[in-house]
Amino acid sequence: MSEAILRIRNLRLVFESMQGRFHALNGVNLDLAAGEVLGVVGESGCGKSSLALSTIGLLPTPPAKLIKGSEILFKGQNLLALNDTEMERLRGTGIAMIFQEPLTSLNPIFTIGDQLSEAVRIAAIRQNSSLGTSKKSAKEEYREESISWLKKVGLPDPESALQRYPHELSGGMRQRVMISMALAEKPALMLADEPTSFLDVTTQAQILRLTASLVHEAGASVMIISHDLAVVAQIADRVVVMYAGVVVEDAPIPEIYEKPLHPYTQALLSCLPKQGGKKRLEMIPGSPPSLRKAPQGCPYAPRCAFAKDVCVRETPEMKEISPVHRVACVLY
Amino acid sequence: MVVNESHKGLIIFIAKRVALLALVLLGVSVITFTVSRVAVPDPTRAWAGPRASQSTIDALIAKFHLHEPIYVQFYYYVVGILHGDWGSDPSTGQPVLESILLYLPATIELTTAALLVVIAVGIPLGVAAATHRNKLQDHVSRVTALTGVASPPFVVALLLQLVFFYYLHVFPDSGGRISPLIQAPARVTGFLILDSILAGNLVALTSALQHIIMPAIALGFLNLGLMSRLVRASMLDSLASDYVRTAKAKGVTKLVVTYKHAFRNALIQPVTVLSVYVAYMLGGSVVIESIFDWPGLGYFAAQSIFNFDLPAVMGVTLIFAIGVVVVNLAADILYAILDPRIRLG
Amino acid sequence: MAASLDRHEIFTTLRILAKDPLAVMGTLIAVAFIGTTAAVALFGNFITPYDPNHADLNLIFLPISSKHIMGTDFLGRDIFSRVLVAAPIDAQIAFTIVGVSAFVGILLGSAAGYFGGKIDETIMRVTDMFLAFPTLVLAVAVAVALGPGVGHLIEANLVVWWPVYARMARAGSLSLRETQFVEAARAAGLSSVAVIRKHILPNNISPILVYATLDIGNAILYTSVLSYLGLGAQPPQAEWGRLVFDGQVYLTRAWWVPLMPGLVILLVALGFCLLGDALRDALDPRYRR
Repeated sequence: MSEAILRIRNLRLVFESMQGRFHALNGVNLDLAAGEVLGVVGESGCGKSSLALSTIGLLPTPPAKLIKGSEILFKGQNLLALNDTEMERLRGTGIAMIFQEPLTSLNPIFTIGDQLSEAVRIAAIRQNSSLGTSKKSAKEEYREESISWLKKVGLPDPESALQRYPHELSGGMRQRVMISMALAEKPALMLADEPTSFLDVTTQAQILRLTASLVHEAGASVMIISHDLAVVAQIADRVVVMYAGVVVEDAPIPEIYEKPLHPYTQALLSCLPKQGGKKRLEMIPGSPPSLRKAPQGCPYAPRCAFAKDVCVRETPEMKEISPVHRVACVLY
Repeated sequence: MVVNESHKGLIIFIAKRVALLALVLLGVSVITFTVSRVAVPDPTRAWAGPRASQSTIDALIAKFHLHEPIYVQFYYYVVGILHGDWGSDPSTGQPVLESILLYLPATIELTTAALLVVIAVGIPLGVAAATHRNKLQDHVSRVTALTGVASPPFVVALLLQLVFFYYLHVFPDSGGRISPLIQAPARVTGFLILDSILAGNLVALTSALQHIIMPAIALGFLNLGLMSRLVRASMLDSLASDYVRTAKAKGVTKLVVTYKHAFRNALIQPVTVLSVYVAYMLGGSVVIESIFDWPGLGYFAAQSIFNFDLPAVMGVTLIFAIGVVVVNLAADILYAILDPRIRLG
Repeated sequence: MAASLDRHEIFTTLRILAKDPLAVMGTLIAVAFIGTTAAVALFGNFITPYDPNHADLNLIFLPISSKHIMGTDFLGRDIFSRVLVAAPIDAQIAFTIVGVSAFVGILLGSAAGYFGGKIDETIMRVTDMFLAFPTLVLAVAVAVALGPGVGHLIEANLVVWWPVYARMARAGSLSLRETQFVEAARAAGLSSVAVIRKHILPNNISPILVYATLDIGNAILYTSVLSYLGLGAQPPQAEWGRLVFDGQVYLTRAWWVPLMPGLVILLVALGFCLLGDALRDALDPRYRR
């Protein structure tokens, strides 16, 4: 197995609020290999965004609390043991993240050029490198690098785009800018949280293709999060299915379509509209468990068609069905 | 530099606003007209004085076209104002506009100084209250805001005078804008501080600065706390925003995130509110200038009120309204400059 | 959406308020003020420790003591008694101003929001014109034009107070206009007036109530400033702002003469501010869960 760039072990996260305790993550284990694109799929509230935010260290820490025993190893280093400054240093150039809503995620009062060169500059300062061999000023170099990135993400007329403000661009263009800002810092790991949810289907496909090629070119590892398996399938090598704060299945993309093992994954797949099929869209009956109570037993048991008595009592362990396919279910 | 859509939008925005200004001023004059001619039981007495002779009164009736329909009167009223005829003091005959122009610079100077106090103290206090939520800085900000809003301006002014002039002997020897023992510099702009600088007169400058501090603090205190609360709320919103999260994700340092990304956005709303504070301050200046013997419009207004001099009071009201409208326009323009999203609408 | 006015909501509000120390303080001050006013209005000079008008030149400028908790003034009169006896005037003026202007403002504003179109335009232009003035200055101008006296002071303030209520009522009315129960009421054939009265007004009331509470404090401030300037209550009628003015010249010699009435004004205004603020927080839907 190639070098794992990210290893998450027993990640447990709670949110403390006035209404009580909210168990967002309940023992997540996953590995991400270098250069791999991993999809994380699940319904709203399953904890996938919290997973990404914990990795990059941007959880709002008063309400959020990571439970002792959790480990997030990035290139062998436990991120949860780092202090604020050290973590800050990793962000951007080590681990980058792009978010769901590009309009609110971009600063409205600064131009695209300003925000992009900021990313370029941070990368340049950290790597202590000069971008070119000519005698141009740093500012000029940043500007050129920004323009070249905008070209790479397919933005028409990059020079004038630099002067524009976020609200002057379309959703698709804004997301391209976000991607360019993230990749300009040449991160080893990029986290993408529902990057295409706010885009129309055609633009979605374009953005995903673009991201896939750029990321492959850069040799970065990617964790792409979505509630939509179809989106993830377009660019991921492997996918991890999450439910109520735990990972329930972990398999490469082709395998998860051909041989979904966990009842939840099977239900998810049957919800997807099949091309040319006349089958009615089915919904999974019931709703996700309230995360107020500490988890006990298999979280999917209440909705599971195959549930047995033991499911409610014991939490199923992740079993290796094959070297690349794991599932947490008592059926196996 | 490329003149993009956004810049063009800004210019159009400003042009539209300036055109609107004329309309608002017209509305303002309707009100001043109503108060000064219509609401008053006996306008000629009010404008001529109680001891005026019948011929004076007849002349006034002719001049104000008092026997003609209201809209005709209004027309002549507006014409008169535009020509600089704002009436005259019933007892002294001094034209009101002249007095107003005499006292105006002092008020502008004081109001500007008070605004500076609000900005220089209110904004940092607000930022501190946001970054140190529910700690001392936050409590100080809250208490200052409450007392500022609830204080009658004369209490603040008198207290300041008592403590600093009288007990601590910290500040200057007298009221007014400058020590009576010092030769004031030649009146170029009417702004004593500027004139002192222009004349290179350091002694006068020092005295002028010493004299402006207390009334500026008194005037600014009313709004200081409010400003800090506004900045605090704005900062908290900003710090919790998505774009701040993105900046952090990029690896931007905490300091830069707070002061470049959050602060600049947070500043937009409070800054535009400053024009509202100017309106409060103009009201407060009537009391505060009197207590500090500051010879500005507020002082003039207080004297005129005391004498029931309606033309003078109306004149001050009009100029204050014009001031507020102009300052509001400036605030709108500032808003458009600070926030590019506004320009395109 | 802001809370509406039914019994359950009122009790919840009171419970939330009871937990906040500042709210309690504000309420106490406001109640004390109103209580004092009522007492003085009913019993007059009998209720004050000393006769507020009794001058004794042997007792001038007595500092604060247990016998004279606010000291005596330049004529030997007990300041605390004078302050007490002046309370009803400010209360009367403040409540009248806020009450009447709120009433007028709400009427005009609700109509403007509900009917829209030309009515809305006209009313909004008019409020804009008024709001272009620094409120104190306009109130002063009208008061000078009308002449001295409490009645004229009230009238002058009414002129400048109503636009804000009109604006708030309009905003609420606009947002409520499209709701389902208003549609239903209209479909049922209810006249516009009845719709406004039964459906729009009650749901609009909480931000206005909050503002009105804050406004009482504001009205007291304005009244005191106007009296300080010589408008409104004329001597020998005691009024807090006037008391400050009369005592001002003795600031350095006997600071309590102008500052005691001044601090009372501050305290009462503060009380209503705290109460209004607390009310606003308590009525904020986010708190109510």
